[in-house]
This record gives sequence, C-alpha cells and structure tokens, in this order.
Amino acid sequence: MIPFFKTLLIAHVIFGVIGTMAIYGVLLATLKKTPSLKFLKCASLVTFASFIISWFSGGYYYVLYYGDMVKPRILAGQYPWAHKIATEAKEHIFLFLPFMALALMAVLWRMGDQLTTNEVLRKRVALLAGAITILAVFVTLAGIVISGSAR
Amino acid sequence: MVNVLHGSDATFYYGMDSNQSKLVNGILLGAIGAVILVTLLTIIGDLYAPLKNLLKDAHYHHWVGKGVWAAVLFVIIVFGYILGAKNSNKKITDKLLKILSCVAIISAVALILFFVYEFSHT
Repeated sequence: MIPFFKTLLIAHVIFGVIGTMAIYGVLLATLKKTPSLKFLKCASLVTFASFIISWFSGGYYYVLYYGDMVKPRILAGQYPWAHKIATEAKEHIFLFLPFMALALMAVLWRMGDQLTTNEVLRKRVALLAGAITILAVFVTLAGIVISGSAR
Repeated sequence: MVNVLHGSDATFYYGMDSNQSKLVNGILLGAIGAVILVTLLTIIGDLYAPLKNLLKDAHYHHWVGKGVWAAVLFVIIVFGYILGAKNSNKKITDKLLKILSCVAIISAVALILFFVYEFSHT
C-alpha cells in the first residue's frame, strides 16, 4: 500500500475513534441533570468534525483502494462474510453518522441553554447521543473485523 | 434548583419562539430523510441492479452516489422546512429527536439483517 492510502486509512481510524469518544462524552454529560453546556458544544463539534474527516478519508480509501486491492482478498479468504456483512453494513451505516452528528450539534448550539430547565429535551438529546454512540461503536467493531480478515 | 416544565407552563414555553427552532427542526427532519434514503437506496439497489448501476455510472461508485443524494435530500428538506413550515416549536424538536434516534437504529438493524440474509442466500 502506498503511503497516501496508508495515511488516509490511519486518518479514517483515528478520527473515527475521536468522534466515537466525543459522542460518548456527550452521552455521559447529558445523563447528568446539570450538564456543562460549554463541554457539550465543544464535544458535539469535535464529534461532527471527526466524523466528516473520517468519512472523506475513509471514503476516498474505500472507493479507490479497498475495492480493487482488499475486497478480492477477503472474498477469497476464510472469512468472506467479513466483507459481505461487516463491510457492507459498515459503509452504509457510516453514511448516517455525519447527518445525525450535525443534527445533535444544531440542537446543542441553538437550544443547549434550555437543557437544565427542560428535562424532556435533555432526555431526548441523550437518546440521540446514545443512538449515535451505538452506531459509532458498531462501525468501529466492524472496522476491526474487516482489518483482521484482510490479514 | 432545577426547574422542570409541566402542563400549561410547558405549553407556553414550547410555543414561545417558533422561528428560533425552525433551523433545528429542519436539520432534524433532513437527517431523518437522509437516513431513510440511504437505507432504501441500499436495499432496493441490491435487489434491483439497474438502480445500483445508475448510482455507479453517475457518481463513479454507488456508495458515493448514496452519500451525494442523501446530502442533496438533506439540504432540500432543511431549506424546504425553513421556508415552508408555518408552525415550528420545541415540542416538535422533542418528537423529531426521538424519531431520528429510532429511525437510525431501526435502519441500521434492517441493513445488518438484509446483508446477513443476502450472504446466507448466495
């Protein structure tokens, strides 16, 4: 693999993990009755920016390298399901995340000051942060499975 | 002390600034639309090859096509909602947050089950 694609893959993994950690931080903070708005705004911005960077770097690698060089190796190996299930699910579920992260960020930046007084809103924000966390963890685990099966 | 709104207080509070919540509600609705479109394009595209080929021919790769069309639909819904919604308040925000969370999880489970089914039948 040439250094360019290696860099893209590393950026995809690192920013994906940063985004997952940041959204988990948002989830934990919104479970508190009086969350820190400054932290929530910052963490939601980091989540969105990380997912966007991970989306573009991973997408470029996936479209121009994975399909020709990695996919045939996985399909010919012992674990073809790693591509047919894990990669297929991962690549499409990953498309949800930037839109969901942007929606969460919009709520926190425009209405975040109401979280301490509006319990319903705080619980709904926690629900969305929880959904994004679950999907981000799934995408991360699928990435580990795909990497393992390509070796 | 934390104040929690109930009953008439909540109704008054929720209805206070409909213009302020238009952008947020538009983005939430746009995200719901994008998630549903990606799921439908993926499942229908795998069952009906011409659709997948169309996305591939138009955007180099079907995955890129799904992302582009999800982004286009997202922008259309956001601007459509901002310009067209007559009534937008925080009660709708609460509902849309719940709907987006549920739609995303259901769509993800549907995609996983679909690919498991496809794998076990090929």
